[in-house]
Amino acid sequence: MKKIKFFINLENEVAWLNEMSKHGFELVNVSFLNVYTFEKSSVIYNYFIDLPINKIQDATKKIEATHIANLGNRVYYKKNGVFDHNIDQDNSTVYYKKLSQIFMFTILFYAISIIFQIGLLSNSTFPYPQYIVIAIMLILIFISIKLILNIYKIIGNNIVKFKLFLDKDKEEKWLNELAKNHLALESFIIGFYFFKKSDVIWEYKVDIYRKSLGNRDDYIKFIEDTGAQLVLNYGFWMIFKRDSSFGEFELYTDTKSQLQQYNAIRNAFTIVLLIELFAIGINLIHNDIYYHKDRLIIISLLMLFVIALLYVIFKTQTIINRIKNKI
Amino acid sequence: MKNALTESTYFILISLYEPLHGYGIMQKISELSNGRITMGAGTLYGAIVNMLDKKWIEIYSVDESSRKKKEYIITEVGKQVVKDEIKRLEELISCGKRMEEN
Repeated sequence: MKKIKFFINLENEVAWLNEMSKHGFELVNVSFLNVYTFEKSSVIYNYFIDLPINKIQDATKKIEATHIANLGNRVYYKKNGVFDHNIDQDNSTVYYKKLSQIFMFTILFYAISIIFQIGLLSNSTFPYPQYIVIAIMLILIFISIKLILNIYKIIGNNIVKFKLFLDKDKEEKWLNELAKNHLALESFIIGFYFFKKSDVIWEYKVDIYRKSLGNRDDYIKFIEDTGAQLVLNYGFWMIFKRDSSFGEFELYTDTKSQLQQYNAIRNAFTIVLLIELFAIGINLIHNDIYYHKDRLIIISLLMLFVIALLYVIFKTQTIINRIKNKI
Repeated sequence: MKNALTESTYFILISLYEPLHGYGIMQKISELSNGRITMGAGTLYGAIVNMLDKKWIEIYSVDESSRKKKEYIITEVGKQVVKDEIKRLEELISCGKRMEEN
């Protein structure tokens, strides 16, 4: 008998397999797209799914059970008896975080498709089939967000806050304010900040990586060797944390490096601004703009973003000038 | 006359007369300045990359473990830079004192 079923929570998956066993079905294989193959059996099995992410750890740990199959990061075992070990906590956190990243990429994919469909709108006539596609994409995005939220609940990062920041100093202040109330930032995905209750009061620093710092991995290792930990890293945007009982945590202590930091921020936002203006320009070139409301919507959205960008660039420049005056 | 060194550059250079890794440099600088200067890790890393480039300091050893922690030490070029800076500072001080006494 074959069954296809999808699980987010591995505990639920094991519970389901155990339940199947009680009804006389034994799992013999798991293959691509979660196809579970069962056979009739009188023996009652217990199941265990291991997540061997760290290979060195595997050599020391031996699971005494029948190996069924490997699927992605998951290794399935069965045994006529009770399993006495649990999945390594760190490994399962890594596994769930990876899973959530997959959903994040699907969200990005849907978002890009929506923009593409909006672009097609102006060339299309009634009944606008694009609206149906956009609606489906929006539903899929909604489902993906729900799944991501569920995944984070499983690993205990059950406090979620949605916020969008363009200003790294404001973000830092907000995170440290929450940290004082024992909420420790664990992950971030498209505007969602995931927190865990923590006894340690962490101090957070938002850092912007710049090319002049050389190799990024070397840089992260160097900072970590001074007692800090990398919380997350998306491209040039990184967040470090350090136990606040260690003393004051500051990454940049002289004016020269502070200037470099803010210059990098200003330049990054200026590049985004230029791309935005280019996009607006392309939309304006089509002189049929007044006949197509959707194009007007895109342009006004872009304009709003431009204003926000201008504000941040202006603010960063003020900070730069203030530092320069101090010298 | 050569350009003045920044305070961070100067303190990193003089702390590296003995081989030290990143965190060691931070502690040494705080010790040398009687706790007046605390060096941020980001500032220190930028300065190290810059000084390695200028060959004022060099890598002394790389840790065997997976973290590959590096120790740095001052080079002959770096020692000359420190000497020049001390000479410059002495000139400044004697100049100032001379004017103050008159």
